[in-house]
Amino acid sequence: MSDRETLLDMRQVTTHYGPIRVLHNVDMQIYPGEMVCLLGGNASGKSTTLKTILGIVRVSEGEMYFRGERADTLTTAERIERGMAVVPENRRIFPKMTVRENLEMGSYLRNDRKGIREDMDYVISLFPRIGERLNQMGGTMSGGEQQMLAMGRALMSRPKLILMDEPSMGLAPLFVEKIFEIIKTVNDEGISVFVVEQNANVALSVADRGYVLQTGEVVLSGPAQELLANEDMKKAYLGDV
Amino acid sequence: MAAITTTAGRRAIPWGWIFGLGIPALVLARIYYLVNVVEVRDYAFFIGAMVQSLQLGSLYALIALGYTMVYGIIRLINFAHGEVFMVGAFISYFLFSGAPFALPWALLWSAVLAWGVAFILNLWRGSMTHPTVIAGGLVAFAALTFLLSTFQVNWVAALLLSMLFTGVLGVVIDRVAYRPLRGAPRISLLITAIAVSFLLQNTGLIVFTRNQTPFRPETDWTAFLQFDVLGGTVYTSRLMFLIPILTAVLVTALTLFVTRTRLGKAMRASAQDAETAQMMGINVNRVIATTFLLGSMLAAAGGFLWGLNFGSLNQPAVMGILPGIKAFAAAVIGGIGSLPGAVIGGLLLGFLENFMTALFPRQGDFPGLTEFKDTFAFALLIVVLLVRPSGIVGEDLSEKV
Amino acid sequence: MAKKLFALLAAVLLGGTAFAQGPVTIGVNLELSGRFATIGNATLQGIEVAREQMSDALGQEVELSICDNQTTPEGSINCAARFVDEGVIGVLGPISSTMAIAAANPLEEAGVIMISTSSTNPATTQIGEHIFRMAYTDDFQGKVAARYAADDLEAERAVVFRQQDDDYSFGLAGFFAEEFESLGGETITLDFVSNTVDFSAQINDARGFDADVIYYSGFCAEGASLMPQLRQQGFNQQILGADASDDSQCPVGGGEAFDGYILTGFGGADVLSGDAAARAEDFAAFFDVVYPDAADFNGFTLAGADSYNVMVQAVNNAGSADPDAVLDALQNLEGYPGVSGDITYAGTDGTPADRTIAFFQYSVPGADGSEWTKSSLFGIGTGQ
Repeated sequence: MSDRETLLDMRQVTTHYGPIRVLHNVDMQIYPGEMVCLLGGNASGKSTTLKTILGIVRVSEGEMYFRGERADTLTTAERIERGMAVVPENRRIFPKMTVRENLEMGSYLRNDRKGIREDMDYVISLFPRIGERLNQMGGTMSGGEQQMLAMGRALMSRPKLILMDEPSMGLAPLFVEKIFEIIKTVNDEGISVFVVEQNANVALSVADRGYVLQTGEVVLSGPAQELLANEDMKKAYLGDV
Repeated sequence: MAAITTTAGRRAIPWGWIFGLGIPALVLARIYYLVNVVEVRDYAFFIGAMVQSLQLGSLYALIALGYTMVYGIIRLINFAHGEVFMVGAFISYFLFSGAPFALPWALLWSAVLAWGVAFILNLWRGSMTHPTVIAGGLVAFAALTFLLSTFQVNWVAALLLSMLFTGVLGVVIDRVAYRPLRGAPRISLLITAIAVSFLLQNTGLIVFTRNQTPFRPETDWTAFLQFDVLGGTVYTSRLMFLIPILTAVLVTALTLFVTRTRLGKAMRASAQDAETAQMMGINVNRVIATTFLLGSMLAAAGGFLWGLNFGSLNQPAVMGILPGIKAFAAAVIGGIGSLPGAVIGGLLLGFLENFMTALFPRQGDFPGLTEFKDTFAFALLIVVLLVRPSGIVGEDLSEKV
Repeated sequence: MAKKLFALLAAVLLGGTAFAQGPVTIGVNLELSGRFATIGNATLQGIEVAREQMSDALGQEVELSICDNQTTPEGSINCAARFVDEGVIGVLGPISSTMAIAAANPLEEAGVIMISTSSTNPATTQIGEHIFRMAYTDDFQGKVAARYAADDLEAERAVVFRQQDDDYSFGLAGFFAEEFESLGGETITLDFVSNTVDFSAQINDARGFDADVIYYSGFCAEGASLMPQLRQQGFNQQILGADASDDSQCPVGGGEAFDGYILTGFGGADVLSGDAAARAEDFAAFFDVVYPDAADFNGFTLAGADSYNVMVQAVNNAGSADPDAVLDALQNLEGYPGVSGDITYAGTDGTPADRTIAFFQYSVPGADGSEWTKSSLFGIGTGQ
């Protein structure tokens, strides 16, 4: 591990679901400006990891630091305030609110009207399709459009770290590529991205580094290129490259 | 309401048009029959009935809004809401009438509500020991004690203060009875709500009164009003203006709040997806408290106008029960969880109760529908639940995956 | 039971001849809270003032055991059960027929005397020989009102508002309608239930009838809402009420709408004659000393007082607290000089032989009803 200042630092994090141990001694770091992906099969603990970072799941053992500050004792709202944003699994946009209102919810904790307006313009520039439908109800948009909206919503809080939960889920392959291009674009602006993904191929092709989770433990980690070339990875997760 | 198209593209039966046009047509035909054919009534009579229906419907709408908002956000049928309506009516009574309110009870009420005020301030300031919170609590305590036990204020002040304090009561109820049960099975919440209902009823009997209470503040708005129209006379009072207008103002204010303000939008977001709202940093508990605050304020306004409309209040263990259940039925009929649904449901119920009995009066041997007046609400509720359970303005969400 | 055994033992041991040692206890079962609270409290005050005047029986102090039936039949039954347990010598009250009938059954069964201060439904005293009343019955009250409407008011069409879940109101409405129709009039009867505040449906039904007079057989709890709504809806006919309207709750709660309202009720000093009038006036003066700020002083106060008086008189006449002796004394009571007239139970089924019904009229000058007054028009004796 380098001596650089971490953005997110998970140290020996263990979580439980009742008596069942879900995550076990998970060590993960995200550095500023990085894109990190978390891979693994079903029931590997990927979603739980994301929920733990957000604060929806409590840490039973271990510690977590965000921007140098002890974070595992903070509430979700406090972590959002300090610069986390999330694009949930299945998008979870607000169906009976307009596109514009959905974006506004992303900037809920902010008070700087000018900054919010600037960010809304930025999001529209990233996602022109969104810009065309500002007054449309969120629930009437297609899956891909909703994914863009969810990302835009996350960007509206001007976060330091965006957490994404399976962005490719339920999307056509063409769209998946597009989404990850946009994720890369966002990352290039300096916003760290943490992506939990089933589709290891596409994730690793865009990310800087990756972790592989199996039954709640980190089994592999390293630069994305290395993981792509790794034989075990190929057999287990990548299929025929 | 346009014709409903199924995914296969075929036209379904246009119920909207059938009911929307058919029912008014039938009503008008019946009115024509009663006025011109059998000549038992005149047109002015039906205009009067319309006016009364609007008044009653407005009252039901105000109460129904509280039910629908709370259900929308935490999926709880707040059975105690009818009692909140009752408390609002009685607090305003004690404020404008100068009736004696025993000091010990005034102190108790004040203590509870002062804590509520402090709690609300706490939601904004973050700590119960913050000076603003403590100061706010003490001021509220002193103010309410004085107001209840000594002062007599005019009806406008009584209404506004009652709305404020009943709103706070709603927040207290949520904090004390419902919030500890977040995440508990829904049946536990329902039982708790019923318990709160009984608690309020019996506390009201002890603290307010055990008897029927006349409700006649000094105001010109209850003055009789008569005007001649279409050859007959309409008999009403100035309340025909006050009640609908006040209701419209409150409903508009509420609508503007939920569509234009940040907190209002957060309320809507939390009602649609509370977990995701949390992930936006929204403090869902604060949003829920606000929902109770607004719903209870509207119920208190409804309570005051109810007393004004009928001239007296039943005793606390009785007053809120029937209006509460009917308003709940109205909320369900209109579409539970929907604000316009609650208003539509309330107005519809007022119309049904008043106008139906006017359309089918006693005639010779036909006893008329007067005795069944209270049953229409529930009959319609059953029909709606069978035919279109999501209500008139149903939660008709087309979600694409 | 245990109490009586102990008393018997004590009597035997002490060689006393009186059956019960200690104070004479009279139960008081009244509507002290709830819809009829004002009438119940007026009656209680009458009882208490009467007790001030005559506070002992058989040389012992009379104690009152007061029970609030909360204007519910269940409450009334509970009070009755409590009095049976306490072994009271008799029960005064309730004021309303529904509560009275509810309490009369258990009391008759237990052999405890009950004097309902103002139940007027004939059925009450039919329940048994232990059940008495202080008032007239509704067949008389309804008739008198109907005759007044037909003859004095020259009405031919009457709307009757009736509380269908109350025995008194239901019965009285029937008696009125029957007599009014037999005098050639036409009536329609409109029903409502207790705790109704919204009378728009009933009023709508009344509209087509074109009545000359309105008869209200219900209580002030609902009346205070009904009368203003009637006036607002343009009904300006004379309204006739019954003794349940003899209650401050009506003019205070209903305000201007009660101006000119005529009602029948218990006769007071104004309509009694001779010695009875004098006694009534003395009582009124004494009452004023004890309760100068009483909300009501009306027939119910007098009824309460006289119920107490005849109860104590019966005990004294019997010479003992033996229930059978007291019952016998009460059943043979003749010409007792009460404050509401002479009271005779001899030869009756529990309803006094000659009672005076008075016609009163409310006058409510201001809009808010706080300055109301009630004047007596005339009285009619049931014996006539």
